[in-house]
Amino acid sequence: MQQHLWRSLQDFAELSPSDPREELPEPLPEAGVSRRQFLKLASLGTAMAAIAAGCRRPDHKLVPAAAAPEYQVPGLPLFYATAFQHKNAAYGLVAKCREGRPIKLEGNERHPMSLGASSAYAQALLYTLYDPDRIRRVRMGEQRSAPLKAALQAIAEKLQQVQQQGKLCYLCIEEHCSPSYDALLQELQRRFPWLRVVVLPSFLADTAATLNAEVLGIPAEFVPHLGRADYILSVEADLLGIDRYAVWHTHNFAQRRRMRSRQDTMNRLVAVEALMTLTGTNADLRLRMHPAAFEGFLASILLELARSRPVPEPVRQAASRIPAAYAEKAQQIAQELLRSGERAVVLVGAHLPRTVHALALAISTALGSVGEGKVLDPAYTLPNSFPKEPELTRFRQDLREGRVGALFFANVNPEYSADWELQRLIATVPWRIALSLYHDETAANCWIHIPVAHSLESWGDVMAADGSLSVQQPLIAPLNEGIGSVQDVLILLAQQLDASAFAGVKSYYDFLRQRWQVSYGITDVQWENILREGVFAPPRRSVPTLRFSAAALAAAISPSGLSREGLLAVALPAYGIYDGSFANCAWLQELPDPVSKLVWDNVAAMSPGTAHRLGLATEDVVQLRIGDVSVKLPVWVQPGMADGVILTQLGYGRREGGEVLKGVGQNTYPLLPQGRLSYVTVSLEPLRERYLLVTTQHHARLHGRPIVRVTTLAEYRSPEGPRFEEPKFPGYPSLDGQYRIPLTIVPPYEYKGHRWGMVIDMNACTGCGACIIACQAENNIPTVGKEEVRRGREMHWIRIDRYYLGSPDAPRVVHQPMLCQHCENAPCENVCPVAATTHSPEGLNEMTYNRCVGTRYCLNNCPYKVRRFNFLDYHTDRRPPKEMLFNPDVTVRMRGVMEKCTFCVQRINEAKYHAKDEGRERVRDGEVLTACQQACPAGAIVFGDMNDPQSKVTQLRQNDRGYHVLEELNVRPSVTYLAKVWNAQPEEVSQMRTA
Amino acid sequence: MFTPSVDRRIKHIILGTAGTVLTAAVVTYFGMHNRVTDVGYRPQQPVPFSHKLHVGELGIKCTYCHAGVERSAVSPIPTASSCMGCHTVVRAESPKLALVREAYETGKPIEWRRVHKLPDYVHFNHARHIRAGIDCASCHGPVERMGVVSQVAPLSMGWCLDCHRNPEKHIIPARPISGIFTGLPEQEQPVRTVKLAESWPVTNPSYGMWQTPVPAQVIPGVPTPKLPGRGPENCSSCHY
Amino acid sequence: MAQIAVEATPRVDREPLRESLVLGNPTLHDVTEKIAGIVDRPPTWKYWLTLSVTGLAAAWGIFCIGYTIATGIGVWGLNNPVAWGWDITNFVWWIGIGHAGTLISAILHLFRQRWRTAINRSAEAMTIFAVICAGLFPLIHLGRPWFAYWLLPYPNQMYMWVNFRSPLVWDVFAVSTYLTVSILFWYLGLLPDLATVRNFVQRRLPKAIYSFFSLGWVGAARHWQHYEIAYLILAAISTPLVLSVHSVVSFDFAVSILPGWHTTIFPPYFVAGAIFSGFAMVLTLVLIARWVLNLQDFITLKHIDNMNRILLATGMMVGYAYAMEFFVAMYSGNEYERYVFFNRAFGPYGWAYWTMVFCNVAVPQLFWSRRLRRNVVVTFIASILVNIGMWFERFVIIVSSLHHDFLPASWGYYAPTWVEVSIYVGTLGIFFTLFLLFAKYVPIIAISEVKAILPRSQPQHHVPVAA
Repeated sequence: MQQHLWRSLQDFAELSPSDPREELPEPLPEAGVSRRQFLKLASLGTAMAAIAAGCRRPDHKLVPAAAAPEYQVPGLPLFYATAFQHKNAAYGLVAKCREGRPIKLEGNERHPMSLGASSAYAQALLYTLYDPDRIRRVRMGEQRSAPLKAALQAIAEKLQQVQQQGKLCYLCIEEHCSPSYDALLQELQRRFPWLRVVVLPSFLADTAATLNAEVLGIPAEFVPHLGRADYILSVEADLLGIDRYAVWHTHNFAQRRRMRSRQDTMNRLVAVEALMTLTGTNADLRLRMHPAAFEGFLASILLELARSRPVPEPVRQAASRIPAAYAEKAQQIAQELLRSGERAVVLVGAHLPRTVHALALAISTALGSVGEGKVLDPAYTLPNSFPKEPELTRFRQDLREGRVGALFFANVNPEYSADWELQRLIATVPWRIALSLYHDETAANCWIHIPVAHSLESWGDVMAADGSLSVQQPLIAPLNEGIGSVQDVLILLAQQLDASAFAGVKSYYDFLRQRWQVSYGITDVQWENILREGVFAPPRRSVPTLRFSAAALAAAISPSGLSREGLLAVALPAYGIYDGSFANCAWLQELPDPVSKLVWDNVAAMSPGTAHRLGLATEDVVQLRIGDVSVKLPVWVQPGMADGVILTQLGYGRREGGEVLKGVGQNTYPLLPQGRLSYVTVSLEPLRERYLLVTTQHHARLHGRPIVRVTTLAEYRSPEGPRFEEPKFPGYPSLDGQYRIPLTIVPPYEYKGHRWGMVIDMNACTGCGACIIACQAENNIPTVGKEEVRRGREMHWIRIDRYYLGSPDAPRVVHQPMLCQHCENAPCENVCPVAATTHSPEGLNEMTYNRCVGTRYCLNNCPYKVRRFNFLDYHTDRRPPKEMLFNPDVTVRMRGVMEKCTFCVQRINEAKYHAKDEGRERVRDGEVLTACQQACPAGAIVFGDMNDPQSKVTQLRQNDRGYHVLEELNVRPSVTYLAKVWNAQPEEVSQMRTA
Repeated sequence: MFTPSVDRRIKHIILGTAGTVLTAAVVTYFGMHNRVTDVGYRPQQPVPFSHKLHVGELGIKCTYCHAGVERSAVSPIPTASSCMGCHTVVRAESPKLALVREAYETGKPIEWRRVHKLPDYVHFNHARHIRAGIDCASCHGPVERMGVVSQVAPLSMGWCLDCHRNPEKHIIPARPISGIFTGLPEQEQPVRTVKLAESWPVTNPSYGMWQTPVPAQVIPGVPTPKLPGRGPENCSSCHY
Repeated sequence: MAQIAVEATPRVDREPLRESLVLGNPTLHDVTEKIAGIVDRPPTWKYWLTLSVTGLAAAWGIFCIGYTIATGIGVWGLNNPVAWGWDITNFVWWIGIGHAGTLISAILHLFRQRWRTAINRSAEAMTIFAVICAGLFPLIHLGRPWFAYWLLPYPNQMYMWVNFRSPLVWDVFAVSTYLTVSILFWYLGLLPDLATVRNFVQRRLPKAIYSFFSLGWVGAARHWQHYEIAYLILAAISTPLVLSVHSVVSFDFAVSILPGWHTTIFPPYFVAGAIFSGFAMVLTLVLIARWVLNLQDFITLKHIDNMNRILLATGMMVGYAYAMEFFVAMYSGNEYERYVFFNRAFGPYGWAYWTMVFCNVAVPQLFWSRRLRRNVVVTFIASILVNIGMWFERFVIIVSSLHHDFLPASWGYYAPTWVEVSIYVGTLGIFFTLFLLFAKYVPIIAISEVKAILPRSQPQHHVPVAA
């Protein structure tokens, strides 16, 4: 319909015959003519023509760098290894950078504890980096933006005074795992004796560490190696949930549950809990038990194990306290533990009383699962997890006696999280200085607030639980006007105080580099290599030796004092925003809690029985009172919890430190006695109020639909194989995929090249939700806020459906990731009037945003309801530097268009380019990783080419657990699910069928 | 059949309707037509840089300044420093270069005015097209004859598809002047021509990501230029 | 002389063979007087009041449409999974109402149902206005209405065509065709009457206007000949449309995969429903017009009776369809289907379902009794109820099927916002505004056709003159 201006240079020569080198006339002949004609037409006065003529496009600027940076080519990604410390747990990361800014974080495959996977926190790190609410300028008293130099001088003067008064200066730091940071702090304390450092965790959970110190002589927490465990008895230990090393645990746990064939072995997870933890939902056997019964239960197991051998008296007493109902179970489990021997382990939640920890440790020791190369390996301990209590008591003491003249808060927020007494004490200190990213509650009450650099903007190093080291290298210049990290600031301050301090060290980087040189003997070459690899395992690792003391263990066992009367409440870190440090990250706020699917709120979760007894229902507001403090919380009725127990989440109810966190939830820190995670007896009074709670899933029942398929290991192994429930549906396809009724009138697609497909192993998936955030980061998916989620408009491309099977009191739980199934007979494709969603030659179900007019017909016709519609403009927050968060390879969708999972088509295209560059026709298997697959710690998602007989996907699709969700509809999804297998006795599985 | 006056009125009505319809049709046609896209857009640049002089007369290859275009989706704009690579010596004092010198010294980049612009939802990849042996001129026109660069092609979707469907009709095979792979025997090849074999791959695979950039293997079949096959036509090859 | 006198007096002393369609035995002139008079008379203050009320509603609705387009569909209550709510409900409802017109004018005309003459004009007008209201919704329900023209196949620089497999595209064709034909049909039928009015009115401007639109009709024999042929042809053309349009609309649902939508009986079911609701709306309007403009002589109880019979018939068809849906669901052995229908009647939207059943199935049963069929008040209330019921039918089909579909995890609930309600009210405003204008400025009853069925125009046996 339109002819080209010229086809070749010959045409062009004819076009301008006179002198081929003569400059092109402007406007070009044809173009000019056309425009003139066109203006004639426009003069017809038709509005359309006027518009078309009027729209000369706006002036775009092209701004090249003045001098080209090394390596960088616009449009090409660069990958750098760096590290992320989630409190004192270290993960290796690889950051994808474009045009000099990180746009995506992935786990570093070579890092022993992250193994290529990443958690929601790691993904969310990027969000906090570009968070517009971060503070950029130094605040000094009333002065909003003071130069750093001036601030440091002022601080130095005050510190001199403090020193002269003979007072102390405390530096409160968060839990971390950076050896160099430690070294720096020691150096500082050595140089300035009046300076003391105290680790000020937002909550205290050092029971295990203390116990280990007394019993085993290891002042640290174990990081259990689940890969070595055949049998895991978890007593409210949420290893797969809020544990700091959940990524690693999930990887090791899932490793033993992939079940590639019927011969494969499988570990067994038994969860004994009063709460409904994510770990509990993944248990093969879950015992619902009141916390007061834990010690009795464990004690009787211990007795059973001990048999005739002598047992300390307290154990017998404890054992006598076991409720009759559980006696038999205790016996059975004891037997099972014995059978697994040293490959069995008992793990205990950090919030449980010392006795329970002691009993668990006793059992593990008895089983022999403690020691070198065992599940509880002294080589795998959490760095800096030493008992914090003594330090803190000393700190409080000094405060009380007014010996503290100045306080530094380095990325800690006691004003929000500390108990009332400590807050009052802190307030008495005259000079308080905050070093943090946000203007949070503490910073607001400080004299000087210095905005420090984000961990992705600054140098550092981290030590993982296995002792391997990683370097945290900056990926972008600090966005807070060049002010460095906490460590940089401290060094500057030290030099301010004493010119001779840190000679030859200009910044923390120099300190770090020198230290690595000295203590690990790292040469520049090695250093370069470490930066590339992202991980360095020091040759000589000092593994502490165990010195087991039975006496200490016996001493530790004493009645916990938890009573069955009244209500027990416990506040645990929230799944999404942890202890509140992530509270300003909208991604995590909108990440549904994996069990309750709640977003943007914390609740008082209680069992249906308790709610019924108290005459409460979900969304009723109640007041929890402990001593003189009280917390107002909305009720959430949570199936599977034990009666008489209330679970609530920490991290909410922040007042300062950003726009996102304002007015979200309630601060539940007051429920922690002395800031320690533990059960407390509370009194509950219902208020005559209701509070709107929002979840992303309203129905948890399957209504007899075989959407999830489940079986037990025994049944799966049995010669006749698993008997999966088949859909009751006419024309349902037989097992070989042949449809009993030919249900299509159009010839099937022929896939000559690739044919992309995915396999999701529901037995490996623990429902952690890392995939959701990874997808969000990769595909520029907006967050919509509580109100829009209430309307059912959350935008996540991949969601995790959580189904309850069985009774509401003790349900079995199945997690099912649900994303676009890229159907071969896609119902959405037929109905789009403008062909905005189409089928690609490689089996992708393409969504073309710029063609979409938004009829939403495709959404109606999608059986999986995985399409997401931009009902409003959800990219409203455009405050700088937020836009740097966008992945430049993915279009940012405007309002009024449909969107959905694309199988990360941008990555597929990149991989195809790469293959072409290497002269290959096809992409190698594993060359394309979708964002969700790459993040998944359980390796539950496998993506690949179904046309390639060697590919993992093709092989997994043959697995006899494989099935398609809603395959009876003949939509022929490209996503295959592998059925869930429970390593449980048939009688333990009350609800095998989905009815 | 009616009274003359009535007939006239009817005729008027009919003519009127016909006229409106026709106008609408014509307007639609031109409203949708490429000729009202930005063809002929020819902004004056802050620095009076002449491709005619540099490419046409001095014979500097496209890829000398737009280095990396054969690897990247976008065509990099030369930095001030690369200009000064020559102009510290050549015409060092020319007033026309004032802005460049300033940028070079102060590090404050030059703001060029963009001529060729695709919408953000179109992912055009220079490297792919260049590696298929398609000459720059196929889309950008004879830049070596333009003192001030102007847009010669509509850059509309239909125009893209024309080429993707039957490239042989539209494509200009790579020319030496472009500096992209021409398949000329080694000795004849101009010094600065970037050969595919030397160039790095456009992408890094998602495994082994920390080695960057990954050196590519030599492409089999070098140095035989092959005309590209048909380009993809499915939506997600450009829109995602 | 006497003879002449006798000759001159018309012979109307005999009862016609069947009940007369026009009462009060008016002369031809009376008819003109009566109907063209309405047009000629200046509007009363009551008229202006009503008009301003409806106009206000229309304006408010249009404002809300603007608000929606400016802010996004998000201002409605729609969500995932319920992506269609009041918008499409209203669309189908209005389209349905738009059916009576063509049916009456075309099909009844072909069947030589002479009683149609009293109501066909207003019915056709109503059709056009209803279709206009209906056409609004597919446009404004788009996420990006400014690209609505992409639904039309036209050559463009993108080389993109519409997806002809999509029922929405069929809709575009069906509805636009229907609108065009209806307008033509209506206008053609108007020609003679416009001419009559032209001759009747005295004032200059109206005369000019009417004479322009009457296209110089002078009622010559040839005019009438052409007219009759053209009218017959148009009737023939639009008869299939009556069936096609709503069938196509029903494809929007029948073609989908959704349980509760994916049903083969939808086309006939929808057509019956459409005629049902269409007649109800005609009744509502006609009864008002009859009362306000006291047209009792022209719109007689017989007319109302006939229409009520049709209501009864179509109402029972619809009822049958409801029953059949449940049977099919039960019989299909498709668990999703079964659940959807069970949930439809006893789920969260049960109230809507039972309202629908009451209005559409129970209420028409009244009309088994002749007395009630001929009772204006009862008829009026019933017609309103039927309209409500038919609106709920569409609501139930669309929303109750969507809110609980395949995966329980994705189930949701839908409630409209004030914006959606306002837009619906707005379309009602537009509809009635247009109808009021029509009722005032266009002969609301087909004068020429009524004249044709006057008792005196009936063929009569020759009566010998008494000597």
